[in-house]
Amino acid sequence: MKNVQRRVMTSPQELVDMGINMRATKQEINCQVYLLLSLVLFVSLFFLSATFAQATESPERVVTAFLVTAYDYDPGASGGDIEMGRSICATQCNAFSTDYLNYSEAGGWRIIKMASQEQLRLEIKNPFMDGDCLCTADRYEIRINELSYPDRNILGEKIDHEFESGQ
Amino acid sequence: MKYFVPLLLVLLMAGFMPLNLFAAPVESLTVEQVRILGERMYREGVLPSGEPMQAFAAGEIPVEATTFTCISCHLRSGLGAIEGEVIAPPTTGRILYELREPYMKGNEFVPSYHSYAVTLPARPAYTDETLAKMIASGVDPNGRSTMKVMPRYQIEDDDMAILIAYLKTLSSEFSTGASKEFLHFATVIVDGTDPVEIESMVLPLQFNIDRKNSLAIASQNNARVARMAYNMLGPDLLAKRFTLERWVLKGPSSTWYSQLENFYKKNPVFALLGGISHGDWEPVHRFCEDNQLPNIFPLVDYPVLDENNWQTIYLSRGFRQEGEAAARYLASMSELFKERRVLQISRASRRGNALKNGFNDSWAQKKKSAVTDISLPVGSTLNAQQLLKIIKTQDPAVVIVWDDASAIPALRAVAQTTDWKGLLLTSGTWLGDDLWALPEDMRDGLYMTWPYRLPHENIRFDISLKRILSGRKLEDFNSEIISKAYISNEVLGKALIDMRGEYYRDFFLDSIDMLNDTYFPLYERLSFGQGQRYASKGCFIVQLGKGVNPQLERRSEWVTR
Repeated sequence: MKNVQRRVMTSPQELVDMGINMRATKQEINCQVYLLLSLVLFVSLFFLSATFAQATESPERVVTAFLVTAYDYDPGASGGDIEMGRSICATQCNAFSTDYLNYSEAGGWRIIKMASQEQLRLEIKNPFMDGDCLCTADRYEIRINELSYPDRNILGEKIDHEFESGQ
Repeated sequence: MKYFVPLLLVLLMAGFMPLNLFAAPVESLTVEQVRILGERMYREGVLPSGEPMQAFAAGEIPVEATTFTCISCHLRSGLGAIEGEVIAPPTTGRILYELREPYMKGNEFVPSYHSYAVTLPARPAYTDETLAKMIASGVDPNGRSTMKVMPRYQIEDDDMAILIAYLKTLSSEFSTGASKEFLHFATVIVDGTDPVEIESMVLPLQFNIDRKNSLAIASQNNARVARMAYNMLGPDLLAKRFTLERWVLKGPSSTWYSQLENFYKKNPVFALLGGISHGDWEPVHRFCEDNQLPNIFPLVDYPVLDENNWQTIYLSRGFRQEGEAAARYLASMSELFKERRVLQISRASRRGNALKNGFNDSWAQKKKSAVTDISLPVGSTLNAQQLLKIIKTQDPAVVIVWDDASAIPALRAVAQTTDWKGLLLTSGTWLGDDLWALPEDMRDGLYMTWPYRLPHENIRFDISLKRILSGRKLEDFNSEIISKAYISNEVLGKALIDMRGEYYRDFFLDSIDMLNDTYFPLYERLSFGQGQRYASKGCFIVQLGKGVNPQLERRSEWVTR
């Protein structure tokens, strides 16, 4: 059987024997506790102020975006020209599709896919045609916090660049 | 009658003299004659006799060299280009008659120079004989055949001598305005232009010049900056100091040409950057053509429209472009309204006429239904009742109104009417800021031309613009002009880097022509191509969306020429 040595708590006397002044150690411990407490207090205050800043500035805004993957034209009862309708709907659905670069280039962002292949029915925008455009799209939620946006600091607060160099 | 025979003789002599001259050997021609004849062979593929040069494409297929000209691959400057897998090496005498090695002496460690040098095959220096052999048979001094896209030209010895003599003069000395130490630029400002607009143009241009110069200074003091700048620009461009002069034109436009001559005489610059005028620009354009002085992206509303001109590259075709785009957009759906007419009402002003003529010229090319043109005298306001009456009488399929914001009440009346079914179109830019406050009840019924990227999609470029404002606020400037000047800066930088230290004006323009399409602020797309002188070729047709802070909604793709 393997001989296992158990660790025994060192008694105050043994500490004294080892040259360690117990009173001094207690003082040090107290000091550490105070330090720890003040650190906890500081961190709490920091997060509180951050939360407050978030609540007031609301740096994260949510945008629902669609990325259109297919389109079609439904003439309905109008009997509209299918080919022309498809051509117009191509533009209309394409325009409906979000250019995600508008969000992702500027600052901090997250893009989360919420639904796939949703079918959206839009009234065709053309004075010479009736019917609907059918846009098939993936739906996304873009959460923009703009953390890296040059005009905002890490809390989303506006920075005045008046005295900063253009570089 | 007694004058008829001598006159006939004179005319005949005049007709045949060039032929006799062209048949002469190169030694008997003046330098200028060689330049003219050689240039015609190089640029147009036409022999001194006036006949087209004969060429064989892909080795054996006979083609006319007027289609397969030297310039189409080796460019106007003769300094060539690399486009995909097609390598068109320089054809200037200065480079042809030098040994080509797989590196460029003095620039061995500059990445762009290095990758260019290793792409071109090494070869011994040409002689007149080996060059003539290359042009005729496509075999270089190494005995290696060139790519098949290079035609083989059938040229008689005397004509070949003229062509070779011309190549020896092509891009042989740096253009005026470029020296070992300096590269001089100027920008033209028409006196009386809004000071905010002037500053919106000059500040970015000057920032770019200062940034380049400070980079040179910083690289003298900081090794890391020096290495970055060396890699990016190469030692030659890095060392050059840029200058920018402001040439302010005063008085009537008829005096501008001579004012420009004086400016140019005092400081012969390499190129003009930007420039601003809301009215005339023709004298500046003509001055640039006459002096072979490039001008990139002047901010003008009425550019000179001449496809054969070379020196000025405009951002677009000005106001006219909206009219042209409207015609193309409507032509694409003209099947839907068949023979119904188009009613076009335009303000009798320069802007109104530009829009109207742009529409009419493009519409005529498409050979679509008839157009009724009505002109609105200056000072009058478009009357809603009269307009509705005309619409009721004519029942046009499309009503186009080229007018300012004073037309909004009339446009509103038409947009709301239920008695008429058709498309109502106007210029979005001419409505100015009033566009954003159009009453909700007319937004569904009004279509507008918009020659820029949609504003809500352009916001992302604000970051780039702010970088050149040295901490000042974008709102204090005209952001449209700032964007245009920013584009000039970017294009200038890219072209100069691509020029690899060859400071020839033609090569400067060639290098811009060879730029890839790039995303810039303001315009949905800018495209470049050989001889193309209007970088933005498109326009959107839009409608204003709903709400207090509405966005423009696309009703067309980027309609291009």
